[in-house]
Amino acid sequence: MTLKKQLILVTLIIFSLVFCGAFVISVKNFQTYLSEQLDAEAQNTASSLGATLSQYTENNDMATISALLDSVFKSGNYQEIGIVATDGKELFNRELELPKPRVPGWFRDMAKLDVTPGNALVMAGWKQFGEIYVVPHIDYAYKELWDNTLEIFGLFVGCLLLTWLLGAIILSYLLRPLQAVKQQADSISSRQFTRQDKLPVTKELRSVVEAMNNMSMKVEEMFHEQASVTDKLREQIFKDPYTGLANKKYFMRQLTQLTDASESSHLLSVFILEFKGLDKFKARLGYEAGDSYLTKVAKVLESFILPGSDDVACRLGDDSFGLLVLDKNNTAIKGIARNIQTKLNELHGFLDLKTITFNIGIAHMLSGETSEKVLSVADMALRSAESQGVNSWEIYTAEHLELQQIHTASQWREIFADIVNRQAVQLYKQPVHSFKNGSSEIMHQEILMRLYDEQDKVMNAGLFIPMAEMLGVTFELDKLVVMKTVEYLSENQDDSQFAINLSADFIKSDTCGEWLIAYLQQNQQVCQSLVFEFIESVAITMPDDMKRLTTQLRQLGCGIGLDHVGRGFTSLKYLRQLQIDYLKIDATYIRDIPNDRDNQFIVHLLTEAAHNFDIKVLAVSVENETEVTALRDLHVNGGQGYYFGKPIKL
Amino acid sequence: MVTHTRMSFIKRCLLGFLLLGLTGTSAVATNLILSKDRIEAIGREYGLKTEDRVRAWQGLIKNHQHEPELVKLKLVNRFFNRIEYMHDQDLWGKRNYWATPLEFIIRNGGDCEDYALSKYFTLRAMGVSANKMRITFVKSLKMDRAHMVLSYYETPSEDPFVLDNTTDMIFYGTERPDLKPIYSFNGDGVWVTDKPLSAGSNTAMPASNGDNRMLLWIDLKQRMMAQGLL
Repeated sequence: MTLKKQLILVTLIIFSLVFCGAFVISVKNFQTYLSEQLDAEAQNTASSLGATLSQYTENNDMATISALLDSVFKSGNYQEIGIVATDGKELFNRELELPKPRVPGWFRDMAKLDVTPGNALVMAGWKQFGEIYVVPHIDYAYKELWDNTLEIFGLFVGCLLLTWLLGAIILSYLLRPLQAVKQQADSISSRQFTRQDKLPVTKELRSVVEAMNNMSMKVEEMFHEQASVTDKLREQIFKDPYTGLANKKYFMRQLTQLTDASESSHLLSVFILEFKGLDKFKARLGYEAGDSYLTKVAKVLESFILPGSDDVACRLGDDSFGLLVLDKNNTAIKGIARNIQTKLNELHGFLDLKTITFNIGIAHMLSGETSEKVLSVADMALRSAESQGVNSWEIYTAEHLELQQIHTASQWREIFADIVNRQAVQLYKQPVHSFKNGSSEIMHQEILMRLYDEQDKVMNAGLFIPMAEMLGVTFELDKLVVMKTVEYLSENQDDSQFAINLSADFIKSDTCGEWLIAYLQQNQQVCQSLVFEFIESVAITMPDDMKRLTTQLRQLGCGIGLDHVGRGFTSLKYLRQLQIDYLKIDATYIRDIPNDRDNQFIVHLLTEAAHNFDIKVLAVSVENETEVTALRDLHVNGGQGYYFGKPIKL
Repeated sequence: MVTHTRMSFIKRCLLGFLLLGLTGTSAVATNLILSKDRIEAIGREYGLKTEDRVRAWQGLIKNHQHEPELVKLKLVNRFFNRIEYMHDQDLWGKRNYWATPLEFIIRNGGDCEDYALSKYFTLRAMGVSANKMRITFVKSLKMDRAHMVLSYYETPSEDPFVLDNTTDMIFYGTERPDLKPIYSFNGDGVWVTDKPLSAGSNTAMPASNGDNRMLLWIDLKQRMMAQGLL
């Protein structure tokens, strides 16, 4: 039942009660009044008849008396008229035959009219002749009462209808704001934020409408806020957080759009800038200095982008940048390349940098080729520039495409085969320190490796690791590390534990796993000193295989650790299934840990969860004392980084 | 009557709320005996002479309850006939005013109606049946004007005794050729009716002198009730 109906119903009930009361009182009152009137009338008539008749009694003129009484009786207003003599003898009597009552019997019973006959003396001179009595005709009175009752009832019904009608109209008017509020709520749910400008007069409704208006406004604000947060997130997805440039994802999207999907033809120029020596630079001056340098490089690249154009500058990887320039001819592109070269040289001169070198490869071709092809041409140009020496650039066009593909794949394969053959791996170790107050305990040493090319030059890890993974030779390198470490342990007296990173191949492939177990069984004496680290994603994607291998490794006495924990930020339920000694939190969560509340929170969560299973939590890329303090406060057990010591040769 | 009601109906509906329950049944018996305090209060207000008259009246009622009725008639007739005859207009400032017995005695003056009515009520108080008494309008042939007397019927069909303020003598009606009876009415017949007419009833009744007798009765009755005589 709607509020309106309820209100009208209540109004009608109250109205009915009031009216019923008034009705009963009125009818009763009228009934009393009628009775009195009848009595008075009867008495009146009796008195006047008595006075009149007294004139005719002395001669006992009954004829005149009868005629007079008849004439009064014939008027029909009286039920009965008669005269009784003083000795009780009836001298005259007329009684009306009762006609059919014009009023229902139940009504006569309910509203009974109490009537007293009127009587008066009839005198004969000084003597009393008799007494006249007059009974009023009660039927008329009942009719009168009945008619009036009906009239009041009609009035009542009329008023009731009027009340209902007016009530409905007035309530509709008063409750209209509620309807408007409903519409407002509906429109909010369809994300339209309306306001009711006309506030209702009713106090309660006014506050409801005001609250609705407020809510509408707030929800609208919230939506805007959310939208802007979403925008920011989208921006973050496509932005490199350190340099503010677009990231590789965005770059690739733009490039793909222009090459694969574009219907219009463009002249594309893709620059790839690769830096070398950044690692050393960072090793010497820390990550922050490295980031600051990269930001300056980003500024240089951004200066070549026309505002409002589709040109894009981006960071492709740790050490490399990309630049996409549209519709510039060969000469203009070469000009840009020269300009970049000059500016970077200037930057290096300004910063007094001699350790960082760069090369630029440029692909200059029409859209229509796939993005991969465009990129591989740029890569080819880059290799060519590399061969020309430091800080140089090269521009290739579509003609160089075919050559490049055969070149890199086969070249890399040869390089890896050569490395494995020559065992050209140098192991490094980096200590992991406990954060326990006043303790300089080394928990373990992480084994890192460097590869040397044919010229015995250190190869860039950012370069060879993805390539090794692409060519599926990572496990060969890992085997090499395992063997070299075991060899070291067998030959040297070193109490430290050594942590070796193993690729997912050891979990995925039975042969790899079997090889490892077999090899370790042959060298059981060193197993206690070995810890094997896997990346977290392996534990998440292949928990059963992981469990099988780690169980075997534990039986041999080896430790197990997980690296890059939290990168995917997925469920930690593997903690329960696997027996793990420690987790290394991904570097992204350690960055600016003293100040970054989000990172603090995530590290806190991870630590809490891990400690529940007696698993230690370690940090990486720890660079200063404040970070150590912050991490210690978060109950992180230990960590590694330049603060504790950089990798040194094993 | 029927035409009247319709017109005044709405007014009556409204009045009904106010008047409902206000009309009650009236006491039928007259109670003319006054308390000591009341008599003393009358003395304080109207003087000792008045108090004496009231005491005499009270004594008349109290001391002669068991006398023969004819003696009662004589005593009462004589008692009231001592009061000075005065016109209503001079005494009450009204053309026609029916005084209560107490008013009549205190004022020590009144017209023929006051005599007749006071005698009637006093005799009623002394135990004379209302059936035996009639208030009679007569025409005084000597004075040639309307007059009122109290008639006493020993038996209903006989000639009555007439208590007239013009004489202390009590005669039969037929012995009074100077009086022409016009009409009589039974005081108690009106009094005793179980539904005393309320002030709202504007029924007009023809009276010998053209006054509204019913209204005069009602007025008188209300005053008697107010004075504690009913």
